[in-house]
Amino acid sequence: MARRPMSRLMKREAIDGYIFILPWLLGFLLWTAGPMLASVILSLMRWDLFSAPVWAGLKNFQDLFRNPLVGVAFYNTAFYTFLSVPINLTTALITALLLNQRIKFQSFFRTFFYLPGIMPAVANAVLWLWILNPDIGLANSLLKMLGLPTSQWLWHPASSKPSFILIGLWSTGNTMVIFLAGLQGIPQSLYEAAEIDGANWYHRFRAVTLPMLSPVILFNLVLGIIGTFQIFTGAYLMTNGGPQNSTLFAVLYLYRLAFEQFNMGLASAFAWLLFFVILGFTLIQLRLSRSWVYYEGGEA
Amino acid sequence: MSSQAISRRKLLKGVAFVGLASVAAACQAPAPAAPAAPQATQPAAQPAAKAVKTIDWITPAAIGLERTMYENFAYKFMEENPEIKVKVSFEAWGDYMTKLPTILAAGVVPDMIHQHMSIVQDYAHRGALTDLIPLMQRDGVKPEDYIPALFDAFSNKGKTYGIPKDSAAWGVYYNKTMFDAAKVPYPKDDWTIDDMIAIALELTRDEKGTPASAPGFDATKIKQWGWAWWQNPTPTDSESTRGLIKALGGDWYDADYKKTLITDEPALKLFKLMHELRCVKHGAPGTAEAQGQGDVFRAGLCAMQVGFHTVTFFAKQENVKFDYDVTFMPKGPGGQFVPVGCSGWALPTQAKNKEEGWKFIKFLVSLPVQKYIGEQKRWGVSLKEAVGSIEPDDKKPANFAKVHTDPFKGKTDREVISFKFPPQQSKIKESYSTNFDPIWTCAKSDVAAAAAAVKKDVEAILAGLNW
Repeated sequence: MARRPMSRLMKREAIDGYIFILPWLLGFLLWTAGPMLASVILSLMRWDLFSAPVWAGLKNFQDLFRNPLVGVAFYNTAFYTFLSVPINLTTALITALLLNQRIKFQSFFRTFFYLPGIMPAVANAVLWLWILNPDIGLANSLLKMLGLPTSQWLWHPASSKPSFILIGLWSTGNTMVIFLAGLQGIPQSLYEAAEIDGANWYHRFRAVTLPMLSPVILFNLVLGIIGTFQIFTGAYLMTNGGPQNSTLFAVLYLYRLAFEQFNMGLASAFAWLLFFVILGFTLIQLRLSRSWVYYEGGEA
Repeated sequence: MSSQAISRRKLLKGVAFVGLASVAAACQAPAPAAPAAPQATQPAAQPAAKAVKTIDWITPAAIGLERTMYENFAYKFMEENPEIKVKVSFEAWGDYMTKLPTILAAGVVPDMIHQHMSIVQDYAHRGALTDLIPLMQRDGVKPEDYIPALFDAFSNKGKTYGIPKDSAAWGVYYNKTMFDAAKVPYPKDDWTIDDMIAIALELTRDEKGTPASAPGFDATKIKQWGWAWWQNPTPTDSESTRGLIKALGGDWYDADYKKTLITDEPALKLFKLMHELRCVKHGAPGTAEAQGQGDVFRAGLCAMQVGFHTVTFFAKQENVKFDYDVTFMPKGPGGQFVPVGCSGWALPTQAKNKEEGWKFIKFLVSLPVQKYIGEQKRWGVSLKEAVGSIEPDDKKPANFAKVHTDPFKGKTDREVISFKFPPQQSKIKESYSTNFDPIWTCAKSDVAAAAAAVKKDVEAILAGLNW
């Protein structure tokens, strides 16, 4: 069927639309797409920031696969991501369910649980360095009081990554708020119908809440994996990759390659490798989501 | 109300106008410098005929006194040199290390920059720094007027890439109150590394007061440690460690930096001593034990600590409740050394106003400026004539001058040594942390294996340098 030609009004509307999004578009092209394109080219060069870039072809990628620390960084990041994201999502969902109850001081509790999520990263790091200090920290003091064994937390390779996962729980406020919004969007009539059918709280959660919330869970899952794959600030401030490279996460190593070793080519290649890993996981999630995400108005 | 509604076209026009106005405002000449600081008046109005050159200066500096002090120096300099305007950008330490290479790469090249001795060879090796020798010779700037050992760290193959701006002479601070309580004599000036270990163990006490050197010492309930490292005893974190390795008769690198000597007996001995002191004998706190308690020496948790004059400054600032003094780094079969370090000022290769930048460097290392810096007692100075200005007015601690300033005045029979950090420090550090972290965190004890692994990596890096 032939496309109908655009009317003058439609053309004007389209032009206005483009003008409205022009600032964002320019910003995207200049500050996101441009640097991304530049990093593709840089990944094929040898460049130390000071002298002129030299063509290196695929050597940076070959070097990446020969560099044992790249494997260490990906292992650490994957360990953190695949444990941290499910734990964070579960915690945020449980907190959101609790805060969705009609209780006294509901607003206070919502604010209280959300606040750590907006705490500045440096303050967060200092706070957790104190809490997890093996000698004078609150965590070990509490464990000692309860007669439980203490831990070296961030200062031992076996407990450093789990410590970061624990610290991550402190900042589930943002995820929790999104869940809360999703919960409030579930029609009450569905719960009422389920109750009439004799459903208890578990049935209601299983048959109403989870399916209705599944698009929100998918959203948080995708953002969670993307975010945790890029963990940097905490590791940079608290452990700087140690002890024994046990918290050398991918972006931290990328930063080292770029701004400490001035190896921009290798860093760009690493950035693209990381990008494709994240993209791969995101696509897998989107593919798998067809089997468990329910869209009320039909599949999007 | 419809009469007040703005059409989409009008809104777009308005946004476009505001946008253009903002761009125009942003593109205007930079705002005038901040108001005059107390020590200097604003530079006088420029004669219309003479062009004013602006030099961009970037340096890490602490918020507060350090920044104010540098601003004042800039005003004073502009007052004396009305044809030059100084535009300064202060950064936090960590930010500076990232920002500097980025702006150099982006072509936004400052005219004068700060270089720490640990990075200067790396920047010079990459061609980012100007050799200052021709300018020094032309203007009669003599290294012997400054602390010559410091120039070593900034020089290579007959070229000098920075003028030292400050100085630090390392010694060992000790808590006299702890020594008195344990009836242990204070360390003598010519004490040895063996003495140091023995004292450290004697002064490491558990909650019952049992020393680490005695049977029955409970390592799980340590009340105070005998010794605290400044940083790891490797050639990556601090120039101070060279004092110990040289005392043991070794060094970190051979003379032309083709080989690292860390698998030689003295280095292995040092690594083993330090590992055992921390991990086997519990005479030194681990990283976790030291962290979160402030500075362990100033917090009164540790009897001895390697440090330079800032220990005195901060101990006074914090009004510590114990008596303390300082002595030289211990001696060994190789002799006794005073390791020294510093930062410096440098001119980027691509700087547009090198002459003006050089003029400003000369101003910052001139006697009045250096004296003023020294009188704050917080920062060391690089000019020999001004070295005495950092000595405490109350003459406390008693040995301050002997350890921190006399070596710069040539009043010591100990050798003053600096350390030239080779380029690619970050890669070298990476190898050290991969192989030595398990040693310092007490997970492993095979220092020879760790040293051999690092040697392989480091020599591969050195071989690729052509430095």
